[in-house]
Order: sequence, then C-alpha cells, then structure tokens
Amino acid sequence: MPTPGIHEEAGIASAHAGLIMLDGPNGIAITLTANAAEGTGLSLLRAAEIAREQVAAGEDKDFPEE
Amino acid sequence: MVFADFLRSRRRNLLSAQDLGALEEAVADLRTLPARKTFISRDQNVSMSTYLIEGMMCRYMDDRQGERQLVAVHVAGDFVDLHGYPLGHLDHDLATLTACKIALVPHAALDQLVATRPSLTKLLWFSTLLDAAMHREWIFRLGRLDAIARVSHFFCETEAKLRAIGRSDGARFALPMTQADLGEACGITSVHMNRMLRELKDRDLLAIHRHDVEIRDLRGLARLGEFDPAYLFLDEQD
Repeated sequence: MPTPGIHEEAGIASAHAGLIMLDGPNGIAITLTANAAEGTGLSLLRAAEIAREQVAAGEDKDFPEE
Repeated sequence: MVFADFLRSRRRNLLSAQDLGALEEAVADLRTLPARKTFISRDQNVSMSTYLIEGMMCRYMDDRQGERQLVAVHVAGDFVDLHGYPLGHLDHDLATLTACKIALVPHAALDQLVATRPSLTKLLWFSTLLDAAMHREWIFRLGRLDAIARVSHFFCETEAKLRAIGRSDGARFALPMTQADLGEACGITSVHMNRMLRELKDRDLLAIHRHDVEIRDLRGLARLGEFDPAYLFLDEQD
C-alpha cells in the first residue's frame, strides 16, 4: 500500500511551445524552460541514486513519523 | 429586481418576500464597471458590500513578483465581498473579469437587516459559508489534482454555477476568461493551460471557441476532474 503523499508513479514531461510541462504525479503541474528542465532532471537523477543507496543501507527505516 | 439571482437554485425558497424587499431597499448604489478593473484593493477598508448583478468578477492575490493567483471566480447572484462586512477590510483584491453591473449595500444597512431579520441573516451567513466551501474545494483542486484534472474540475464547477443561475444549458456557456486567467485559477501557466485545453479537445470532453465553452462530455469531465458538486449546495433537481 503506498504511503499517502509519497508517489510511486512517475510524472510525465512534455514539450509545448518551447517549454516543458511536468504533469503529475498528483498535484504537480509546472512549466519549465529547457535549461530548468535539464537541471531539474539531473538533480532528480542524482537524488534517486542517493535514495537507492539509502534504501540499500537500511536508512529508509529511520524515517521519523513521531 | 436587483437580487433576482441571489441564492437562485440554492434555498431561494427560504427567502421571504418581506426579506427580499428589505434587501432590495438596502441597496445604496448601482454601478456599471468596465472589464478587467480592480474594484477593491487588498487591505482597503470597506463600508459597503458588493453584490454582482451581471458579469463575472474574481478575487485574487499577487505574489512578490506580481504574479496573480485567482482565489475565487464570481458569477451573477454572488455577494462577492459579504465577508468584508464583519471583517472590515479585504485580505485580497477584487476585480472584474467582464463588464459588470453591481449593487452596493452599506454595512450600516446590513446592521439593520441583521438586527431585525433572523431568517435573512441566516441566508446571508449561508452565502458566505458557501464561499468557504468553494475555497476548501479550490485547496483540494490545487493541492491534489494534476493539471488536466484541475482544468476539468474548474470547468465542471463553472458550468454548475452558471447552470444554477440560468447561464448554462448544461452543454454551452459563455466564459469570457483568457487562457492566462484560467491558468491563474488553476495554478498553471498560460502555455500549460493552452496544452490542457487542447488535450481536453482531443479527448472530446470540451472545446472552446473564442469565449464560448462547449462541454461535450460532462460526466467524463467530472470523472477526470474528481468533481462532485455537493459542495455547491445546489437544490435537488426535479
């Protein structure tokens, strides 16, 4: 069962009129320039890599809920 | 009659002829406003409340860069700043989207109505609570829905509000808002709105010709936008 507010499905990016629109997951709806989209994409990839390492190290168990 | 559309399709049967007459007599001024004019600015003290007779108005807030977020769209029959009566000033700007006919009701006259007419007072309270219900729905829309769903929800809401006052037949209505306006209501850019409108047309759900909206599949649009009109407190249809 997914954790509320944490999305398991990917957002969808598309280009229109020289800009990039990122739709979803859920309430995400933003418009970016090509440079901003590339920067965001790279940052997401780097963060995803780190997050996978954290999961492998068991650090995801430290998620504070109290 | 000034208040012909007030609470139309929403508990209008609870508005007695005497209370309606008293409300009509409370009007101090009738005005015509041009389109796209800020009528009341944020933090401005108000001594009258604005009732919209004809046209469309919006409430909006600007961020530090001057980018606008619409926080409400009003149609004929709405008391657009009745909350300014107890609050004393507005925490947002109020502007016309189209040319508008408005009636101004002094807060001193509202004092008299509130002091002498409990049933009317309850209906005026209902009117402001209806605004609050719509604000809650807008928070849900902006916080939980993606762009295509937000736009679908907005059109479903607008259609339902206009149908309640006889300005939509369920399939077609006039909506003199630009794509920038629509984007500001849905929290997306105008270019994003342009793409969403194209997608809704491609899905055969909705089409816009200039400022005329054609809803091709209201149920499909409501499903996509997670729209349930219960928060609009409309009377049950016969």
